[in-house]
Amino acid sequence: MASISETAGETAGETVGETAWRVRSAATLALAGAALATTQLLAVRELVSGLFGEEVVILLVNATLFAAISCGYWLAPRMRRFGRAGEIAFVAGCLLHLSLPVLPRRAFAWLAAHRWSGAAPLVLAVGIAIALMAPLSTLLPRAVAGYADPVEGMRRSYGAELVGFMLGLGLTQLCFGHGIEVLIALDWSLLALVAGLALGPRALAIVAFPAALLWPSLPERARAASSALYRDVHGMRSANVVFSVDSPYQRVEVVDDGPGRRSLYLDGLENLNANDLALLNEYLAVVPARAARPASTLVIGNGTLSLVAPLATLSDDLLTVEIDPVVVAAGERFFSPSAGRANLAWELVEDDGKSFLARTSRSFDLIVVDVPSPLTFQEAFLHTREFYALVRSRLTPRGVVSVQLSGHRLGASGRSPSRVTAALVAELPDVLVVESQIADRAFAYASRALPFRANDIRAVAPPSETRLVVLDAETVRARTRDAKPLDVDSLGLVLRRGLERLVDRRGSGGAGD
Amino acid sequence: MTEQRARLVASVTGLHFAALQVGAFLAVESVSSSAWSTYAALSAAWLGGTLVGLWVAVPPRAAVIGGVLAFEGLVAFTQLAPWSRGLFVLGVAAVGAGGLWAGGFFTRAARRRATEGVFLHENNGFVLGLVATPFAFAFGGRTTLAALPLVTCLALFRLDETFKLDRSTPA
Repeated sequence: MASISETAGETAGETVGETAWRVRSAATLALAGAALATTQLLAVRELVSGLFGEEVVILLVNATLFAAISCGYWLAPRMRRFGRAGEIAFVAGCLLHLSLPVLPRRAFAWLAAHRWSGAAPLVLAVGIAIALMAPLSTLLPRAVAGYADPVEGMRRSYGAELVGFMLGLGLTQLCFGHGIEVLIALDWSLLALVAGLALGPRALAIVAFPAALLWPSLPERARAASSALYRDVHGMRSANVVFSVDSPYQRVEVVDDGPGRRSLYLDGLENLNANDLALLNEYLAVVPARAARPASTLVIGNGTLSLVAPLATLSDDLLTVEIDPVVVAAGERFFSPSAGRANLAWELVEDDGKSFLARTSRSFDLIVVDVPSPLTFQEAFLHTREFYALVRSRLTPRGVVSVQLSGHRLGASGRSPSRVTAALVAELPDVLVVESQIADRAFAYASRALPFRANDIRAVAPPSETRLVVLDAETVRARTRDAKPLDVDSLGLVLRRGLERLVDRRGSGGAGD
Repeated sequence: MTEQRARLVASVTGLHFAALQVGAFLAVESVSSSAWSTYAALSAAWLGGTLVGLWVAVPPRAAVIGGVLAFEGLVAFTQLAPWSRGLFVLGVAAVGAGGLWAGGFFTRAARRRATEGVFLHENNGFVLGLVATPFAFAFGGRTTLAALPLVTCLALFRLDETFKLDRSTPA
C-alpha cells in the first residue's frame, strides 16, 4: 500500500515525477472535496431526520459537521506519528461510510427503544459526523505541507479541493429526487477513488469490494431501518415507510401506520396525515372558496395536490405553486391520485411561492397558503408581514388570503398563531379567525375588505362542526393587540419554539410529533 | 505576530466569513427566493470568489473592506427593495466579493509560512459563526445581521497589525 504522505504530499514524489505527483495530489483533493460535499449533504439529511427537522436541529447538525472537519484538521499534522495506524484509520473511516444510511437510522431507533432519549442521540450525531467527515478533511493540510513552496501548495491544493467541492454539490443535485441508493453510489464511488489515489490500489479494493456487495441490497435495508426509526423514535407501532426520497430541500417520506393511517413526513417532522387532511383542506381552502366564489385561485404549497380536486369545482382558474417536486411526486402517488386532473383548468408551477408572487403580474381572488408551521426560517418567511404585503399586492380588491395558524386557537400573544395573525392584520386588516374543534386547528381569512362575514362562514362550514368559533375582525384585533407581528427581523420564535420542542423530546422519551 | 495571536486572527477570520456567507444567504432567502438554484448560485459565488482570491493577488485591506461593503449594501437593499429581481444578482455579487478574502487569507498565510493550524482555527471560527449568525438574525433581525461582519472586520483590523503594513501589499 502506498503511503498517504506520498500522494497527499509530505515528500514531493521521489519515485514518481514531480508533475505526476502534483496531478495525483490535485486529483485526490478534488475527489475528496466532492466526497466532502456529498457526505455533508447525506449526513445532514440522516441526522436532521433522526433528530427531527426544526431549524435549531439543522443548525446543530451543520455546526457538528463543520466541527468534525476541524477534527480532521487537528488530526492531519499528527498523522505522521500514527504511521501505518493512521492509514488503517483512514481506510476504516472510508469503510464507515458503507454503513450509511442504515447505521444512523438503526442507532437512533435503538437509543429510543432503550429510552436513551436525553443527550444520547446528540452524542451519537457528533460521533457519526466525526467518523464520516474527519478522515476526508485530513488530506488538505497534509497536501499543502507537502509542497516546498507553501503559496503554490496552498493555491493548488485548496483550489483543487474547492473545485471538487463545487463538482460534488452539482453531482449531488443530480442525485436528488431518486432513491437514496443513487446518492450513496456516488458517495461510495468517490470514497473508493479517494482511498485508491491516496493509498493505492489495495485501499481502493478494500473500499470498493464491500461497497459493491452491499449496494444491491441497500434500498431494502434502508427502508427497513427507516421503518424501525419511525416505530421506535416516533412511536408508530406498525410503521412501514412506503416512500423515502431526498429532494434538494428535505427528506420526503410517506409512512403507513396500519390501515388508513398514512402520513407525510418532511425531514422527520410530520407534515400531514391522511385522516386530518380532508378537514385541514376543508377549512384552509374549501370553506373560504365556498364563501368567496373566486374566479382565480392560487395555492402556495400543497405539494400533495389534495386541494386541486375540491378547489377546481369552486374556482374557474386554479394554480398551484410548489417548491419541491419530490413532495408533488409523493402526493400524486399516495395522497391525491391524478385521475381527472388533466381535464381541470389547473396549472402546476415548480417554484418558491415568494419568488413566484414577486415575479407574476397576475391577481387572484383567493390565495391559499398551505405551508408547514414556522419551525424553520424557510417556512417562517412564508408567515411574515413582508410576505403578506407581497400577497396583498397580488390580491384583487376583495381578494382573500387563507392561512392555517399553527395552533388550535389564537392563544397567547408570544405564540405562533397570535404572531402570524398579527402579521396578517398589519397588512390586511379585515381578518376572520376560525377555531375548529374537529380540525383541531385555527385558520385565518384576511383581506382588505372580506367578501364574507362570520355567519357566511358558519353557513358553509362542515355539518359535523358543532362548536365552531369564528372571531370577527374587531375581536381579532383586540386579541392580537399585544402580539408583535411576525416579520423577517423578528424570527426568534423559530429558534425558541424549536428549542422547546427539542428539550421536550429529550425529556419525554423521544416521540415528539 | 505571536502564535497565539495568529490563531485568534484565524478564528476571528472564520467567524467573519460565516457572518458574511450565512448572513447573505439569510438576507437573500428572506425576501427573494429559497429555491435550491438560489442556494446553489450563492454557494458557487462564494467558492468562485475564494478561488479567485487564492490565485489573484488582492490587497488584504481592500478585499476585507470590499466584502463587508458589498454585504452591507446587500442587506440594505433587502430592506429598501424587497422582492426586487436585482436582489439575486446583487446577492451573487456580494457573496462573490466576500469570498475573495476567503481565498486571499489562506494565500497570505502560506506566503508567511504560517499554514500550520490555519485551516483548523479558521474552521473553528466558522463553526462559531455558523451558529451565531442565524441566532443574531433570529433575535436581532437584519440590523444585527449587518452589524456582525462590521464587528468582526473591526476586530480583525485591531488584532492583525499586519493589515496596516499590508495596506498596499497584495495578498
